[in-house]
Amino acid sequence: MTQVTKAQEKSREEIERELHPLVREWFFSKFVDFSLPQRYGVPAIRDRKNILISAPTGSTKTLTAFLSILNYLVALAEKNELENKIYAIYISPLKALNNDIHKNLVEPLAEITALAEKHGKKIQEIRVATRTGDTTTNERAKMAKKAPHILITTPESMAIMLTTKKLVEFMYNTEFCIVDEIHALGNKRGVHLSLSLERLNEISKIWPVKIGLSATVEPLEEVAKFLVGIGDDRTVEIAKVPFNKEIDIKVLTPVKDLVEHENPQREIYHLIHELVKEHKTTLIFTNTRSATERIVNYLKDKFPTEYGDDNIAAHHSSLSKDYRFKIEEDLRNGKLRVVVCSTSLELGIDIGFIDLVILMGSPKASSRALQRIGRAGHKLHAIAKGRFVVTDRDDLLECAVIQKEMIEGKIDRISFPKNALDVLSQQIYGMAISKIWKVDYLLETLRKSYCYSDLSRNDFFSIISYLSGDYGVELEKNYVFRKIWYDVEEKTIGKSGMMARVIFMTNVGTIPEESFVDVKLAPSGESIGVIDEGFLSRMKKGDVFVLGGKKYQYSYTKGMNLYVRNAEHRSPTIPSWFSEMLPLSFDSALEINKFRELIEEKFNRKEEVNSIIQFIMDHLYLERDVAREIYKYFYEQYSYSEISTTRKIIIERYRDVKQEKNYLLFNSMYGRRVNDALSRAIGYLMGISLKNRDVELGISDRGFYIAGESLPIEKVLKELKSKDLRKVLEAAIEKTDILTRRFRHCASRSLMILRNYKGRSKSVGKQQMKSHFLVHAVKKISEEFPILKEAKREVLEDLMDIKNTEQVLKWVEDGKLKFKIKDTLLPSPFALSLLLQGHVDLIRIEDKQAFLKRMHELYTREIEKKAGFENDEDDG
Amino acid sequence: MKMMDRAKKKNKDFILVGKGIFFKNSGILAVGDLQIGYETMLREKGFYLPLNQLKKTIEDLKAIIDKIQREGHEINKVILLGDIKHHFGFQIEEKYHVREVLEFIENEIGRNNLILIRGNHEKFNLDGRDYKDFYIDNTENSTKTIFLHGDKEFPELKDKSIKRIIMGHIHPAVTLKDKEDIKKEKFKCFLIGKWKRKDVIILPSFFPLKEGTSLNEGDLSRNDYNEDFGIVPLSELKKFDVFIVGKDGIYNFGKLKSL
Repeated sequence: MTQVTKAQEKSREEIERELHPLVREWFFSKFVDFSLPQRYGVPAIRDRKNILISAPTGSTKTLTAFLSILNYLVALAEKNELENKIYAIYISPLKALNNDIHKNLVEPLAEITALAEKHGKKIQEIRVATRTGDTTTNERAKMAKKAPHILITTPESMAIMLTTKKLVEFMYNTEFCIVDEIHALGNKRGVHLSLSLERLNEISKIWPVKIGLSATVEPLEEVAKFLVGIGDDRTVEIAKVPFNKEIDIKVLTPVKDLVEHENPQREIYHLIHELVKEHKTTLIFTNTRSATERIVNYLKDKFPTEYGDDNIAAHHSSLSKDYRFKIEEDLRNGKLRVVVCSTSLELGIDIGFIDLVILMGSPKASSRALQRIGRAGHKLHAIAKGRFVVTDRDDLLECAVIQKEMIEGKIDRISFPKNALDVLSQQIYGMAISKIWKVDYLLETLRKSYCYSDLSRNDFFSIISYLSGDYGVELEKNYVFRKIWYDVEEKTIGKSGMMARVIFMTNVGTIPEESFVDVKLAPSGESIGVIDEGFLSRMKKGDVFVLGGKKYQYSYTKGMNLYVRNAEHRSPTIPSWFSEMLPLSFDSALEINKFRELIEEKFNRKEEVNSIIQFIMDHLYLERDVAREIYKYFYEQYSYSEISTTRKIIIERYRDVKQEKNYLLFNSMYGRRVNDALSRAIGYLMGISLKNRDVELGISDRGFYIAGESLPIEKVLKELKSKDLRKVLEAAIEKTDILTRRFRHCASRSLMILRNYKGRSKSVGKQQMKSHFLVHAVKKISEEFPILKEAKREVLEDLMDIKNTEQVLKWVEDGKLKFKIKDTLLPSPFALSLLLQGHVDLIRIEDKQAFLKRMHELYTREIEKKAGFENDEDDG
Repeated sequence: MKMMDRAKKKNKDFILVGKGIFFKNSGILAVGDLQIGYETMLREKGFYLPLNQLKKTIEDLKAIIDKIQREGHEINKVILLGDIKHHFGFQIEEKYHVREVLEFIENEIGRNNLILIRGNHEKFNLDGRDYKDFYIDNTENSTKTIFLHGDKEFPELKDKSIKRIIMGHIHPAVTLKDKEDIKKEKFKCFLIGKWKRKDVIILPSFFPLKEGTSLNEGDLSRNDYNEDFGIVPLSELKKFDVFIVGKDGIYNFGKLKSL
């Protein structure tokens, strides 16, 4: 197994001694001393040790990684010993960051070269090149002749280069491989990269030393293993640099009373304005693109003399690259006073000096909050100042708990998907393009990746069989679907078809294509904006939603356009943040439950109001006014109903008389990913006992609801056991839209559906892919079809959190947690927001034909009632 | 519904069988748009999943023919109501698939008894077979009927002696919802009604991969057919009766406008 050890901190003298005179002179002309990450990292890299450096943003991590490499290359360059090969590869998930690094690397290099000249020394040129999706053909051709000594790239371009003959030859002796922003790779992109790293190891004649750079993240041991892979010969050191910036954080409410105030929204903007006025440069984080736009527009609108295009800007992923680049530049140069962004400025681009970070709404996890607030005082030792501005009482509690976790150093854990079969297909295809493989050796190579260390032979061969076109189809000719050939006798595989390399290059990657629908005003056709397709699929005619701060009603769709009408005076039926929502981390949710329990105990013991408020202040590090707001919220809940805690989940049974609908409101504070799984399992079992009827669900971080004609909850709660959860969930997601959508993504990753083909981009129309026939078609081939299996795994493990859901059910089985059903005329204060989620999904259980018959019986009865005579007989 | 109409219906000369219609007096079986080649079109665009359109089409045709024969009828003619193929241009695989389907039908009922109607997707002659704009059936003792695709009118439609129009083209389907608005499903359907004093029967598409265009749910403006709704305007279609194609039979759901 891979060995993980702690890195050693070295003294200034020890590091200085090893530096080349030119590099030493350059370094101390810029810096006074080595930073903590450098004390750990620079000597380790020099000694060719694999290392993971975890440190807060802005703590010179990047330079740490490069310093030893530059030192080595400058020494070679001076002796005129630089070869025509790639010495170091730097991989980052951010394209924008690559430009940034290029700048931060090319400049020091130029300065060192200038220094050399000053000393009358001539050194060889150290070549740096960037290879991303944006690199021109011309630049690529240049690279194929003269190898860059340092190559800057993305995970996707890395996979492409590994199938490019000329570049691979330059890579045989790569000495260093840096992976930046590892904490952002806990997803299929990371899985994809982990296989590319193994491909690099496999072609290498020497071991490329791995250097991982990460923001504050847990669990470091696992991230370190992800970096170097699994094997007895693999070792890695960890340097954990504490968050030594002083943090100054506070939770602020825009008004004293979030419920009674007639316009808390307006007050939020006033509060933001007050904060901005007191600081030089403010960075505001929102969770959605639309909120980003809204804040910028509102501030410009309400304070026209204070804000204009010259000092305020929005920054999010829907904006053009050039525009974003300009904003970053202006920010660095101190030109802007306020920048409002979604998640786009979370990661490490240098953005200069920020003296305040405002978090609008809960960042949903302590790691994210830390990352965001770490953007303030972006210099070592400067104070990071952050303010949470909360929008409602649920948000207030979330922010307060996340603040507590930050202060107490509790960081939520990331994980990497395991055995993802779609990414595996894509990479095996890429590997087969490079050369002919013995299958056993191929499997051995794949299993060295952290994400595939326990890949079963069965799954592996199911992918080989899929790629070699074996769909078990009678009438179709197999060769049509074949991507690789598999020689059963020789046990070898290789690529099939002339187009293989082009198909791989143009379809590489794991990020599903987001498809957007244009929103237009009916009947004029005036363009309003875009929403993503997933969001549209959740809406029905007549729904009211918010876009760009305004309310619109769904009128009709035509092609990929959604036509809407103004609906200023109606309340939204669909929350606008739905499609972009970040899930609350399980750890933070448990922290909230714990807090709820403490407060309930105090209520039960009838403690003094003031002593409870004091407790809230101490426990959550809050000011009195804010703590009082939380107290009031809890007291309302306690006196009206009951508080869900670590020990009990309150289920409110409620009937909406107007809609003639029965609801069960589950106050289960476990975060959206667990609630998603839990609600579907319960909903499914309920549908089964309701003679196979469908059930409607609404899911949030704080709980979920189930709606239907009748809801036999007592029976279902007895039936649901942790050991059966996976089986139940697999059945429950069988007919859902979410599985179909995820299957489409997986089919695209495994190159079953090509995004780019024969020069056409995104050629398969969205409409053609929308229906359920995709999944149906696959099931006809086999229920065990590997890509369908992967889609199910992705839904259960990546989108939902089946592991922690099992944990919750085990708590129930152990008697640590109880469900408690309460009948109610109105939803409790805590449960109210659950109802506002709108229609989210339904669990299809009823067979289509059974549904047709049921509807026909209803129709026939109606007709009989109306006409008073027997209906016409059925034809056929 | 008047008693007269009801009586007439009881004695009707046709039966709806699966996605097809069979005329008892003339022995004609007609089916709607087959759109063969849809799957190969997808594959050309980079979609590599077998949907078995060809296999499914032949299976469905066979099931209908078997059922009619089992019930003691003899099929004299099969009429394909146009849009037999999907590509507007030429595509070799599609050509093979069309040939396979046509040869299958000819094997069942004899080469000269297959009548092909030209649809808007038949831009050119694929295989040297004879394609017609329409076919008029004037069998003794049966209603004089015109079979056409339905995308455009012909002068012959004005012929007053023709009492009935059989067409495809619009891929009719309806969406059923339960009263809680929880479940929604789309079904292929026949539309039967009157237009310009003729009986009109619109067939669902025979195409096995999709249901078609939902006529009662916002779907309408989302599909390819809204601009070109065929010869019968939507306002008239609203008065037609809906007959949903179920797996085990046909279900009458009354007027389209009340769905």
